[in-house]
Amino acid sequence: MADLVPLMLTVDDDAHLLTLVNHYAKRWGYAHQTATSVRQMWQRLDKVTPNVILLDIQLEDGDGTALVPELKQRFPHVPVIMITADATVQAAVKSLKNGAHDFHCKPLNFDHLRIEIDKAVEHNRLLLQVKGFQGAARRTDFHGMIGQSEMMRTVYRLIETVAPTDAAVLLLGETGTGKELAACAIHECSKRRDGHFVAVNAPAIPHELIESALFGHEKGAFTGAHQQHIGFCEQADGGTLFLDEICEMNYDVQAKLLRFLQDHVVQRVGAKSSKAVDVRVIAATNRDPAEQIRKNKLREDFYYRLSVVSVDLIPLRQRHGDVELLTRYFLDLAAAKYGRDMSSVCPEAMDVLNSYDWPGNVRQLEHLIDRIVITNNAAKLTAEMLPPEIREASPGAHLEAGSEFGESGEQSIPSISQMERALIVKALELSNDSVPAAAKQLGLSEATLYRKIKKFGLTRSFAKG
Amino acid sequence: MTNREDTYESESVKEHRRKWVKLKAKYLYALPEEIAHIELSLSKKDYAPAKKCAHRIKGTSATFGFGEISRSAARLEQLAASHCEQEYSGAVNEIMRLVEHEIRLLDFQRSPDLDRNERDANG
Repeated sequence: MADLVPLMLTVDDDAHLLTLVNHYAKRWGYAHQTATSVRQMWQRLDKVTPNVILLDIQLEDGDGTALVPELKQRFPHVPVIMITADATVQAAVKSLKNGAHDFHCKPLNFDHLRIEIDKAVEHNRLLLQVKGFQGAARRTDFHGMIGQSEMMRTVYRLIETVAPTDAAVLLLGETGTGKELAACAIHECSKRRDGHFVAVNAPAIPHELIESALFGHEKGAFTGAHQQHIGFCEQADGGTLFLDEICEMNYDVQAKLLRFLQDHVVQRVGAKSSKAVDVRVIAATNRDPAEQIRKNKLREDFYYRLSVVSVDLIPLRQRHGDVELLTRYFLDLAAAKYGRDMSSVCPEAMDVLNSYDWPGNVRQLEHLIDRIVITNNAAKLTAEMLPPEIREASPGAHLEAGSEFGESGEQSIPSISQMERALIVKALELSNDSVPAAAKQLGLSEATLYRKIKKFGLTRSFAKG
Repeated sequence: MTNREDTYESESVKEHRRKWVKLKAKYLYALPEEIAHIELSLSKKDYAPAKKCAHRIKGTSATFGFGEISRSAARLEQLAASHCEQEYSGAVNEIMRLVEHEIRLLDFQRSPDLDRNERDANG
């Protein structure tokens, strides 16, 4: 798990004691917040979710022991350690029965307290990790791929059909659409699943080393070849070789791979003999193959050999309904990775995420959620946590901005075209994607609305009736 | 362990000690006002705030290492809880005497202690 600074919240009505605990918390490597009353504690908890709470029993405006059940209900994974100057067995029993993690008497022994806090935070971290991974595992729909949109279901069906064969597969799709995940799914659904899945990212390997990386070399084959190396093609024997970004490979390497695809034989650099291997090849590119062939970046014969079956991975903006699933999945995963308890998304934030275009596709969404979880220790993902470029790109943002023109002279004014697009999106949303209903709301004919939908590239499948 | 790590470790411990002494002094200097608040509340037979304040002193003073002040505060808390009017002025005088004694002790200890820290840091 990534090492994020754990947050400790101490609730006590003595400011001097809070200062002292603050001094120790920082010394122990914790971020620390304090509250001097129950009211202030809830205010803090509206904004952050700590990893551990130190709670005094006698507070100005409430009894700490009585607060524990509500705290446990709202933050089930956050351990609560009671601190009190009234060291009675009854108080301790009552606190623990109510769900407190531990009970400490004043005077506070900071050595003991540190051990207990560290243990409690570790406990919290493990609980969050289990919860996150369980949630993420539950959301996986098809061999690690997530998405229930009709387009993704078509992809799953195609993968299931092609996987049992040994046919070469070419995966096409924009960057971040999950080409490696799809290759993995094909491998997992095939009879080769017990063999190796070897992924080769061609652009990451220097041109002068790619032949050796793919086919291997013998000791002494060239300067620097101090020992024998088994290449990726041989490593994948009995399994699957995934060649990513094939258009970035130079022509010579493409020719050698073409020969390998035809003969299924590898000859290590510097070797006298060759070896037959049983490898299934899956390749991928984020470029248009036809265009790359025209530009002499992709050999036509290599392309035809690889594209026995082509699978198009769909850009996220066209996967209607999948953004929400993916957001929840990545939220679970990030919460587990970084020990955070952020488990829900507010509807406004989800609206913004749903209406964004996602040029970086699923990977962009994953990185965004990671960043939000790292930088916000809160229970809920809110619209304010989203970066301005995403908030401002959502059609709703223009509509909201439009409604404030009269109040703020500093608002940037969207173009008529942006406003028109935003209104159409809003009307379609309000009419559940029914074009006739949306056209009626907008005062347009259906044909005009269809023309505008096409013009603005609103590519979702809209109901005609 | 290298000498540099030794030096770093001792610097960190020294810094911690300096901060601890500072916090302790700040707390001690604030106590007379809190005790005056207890005395005022008791004189007005307003027992609840007096009890709360005495309870707070009982816990925090013990954490700062002032055991006798803590015990004295516990007695004041009990007196406030039982609405005992006769004995409270004696208990207030007693805790004030203990606080003043600790302040004198701290003032006496603080300057040479800081001087010694300075000497350690320089030499």
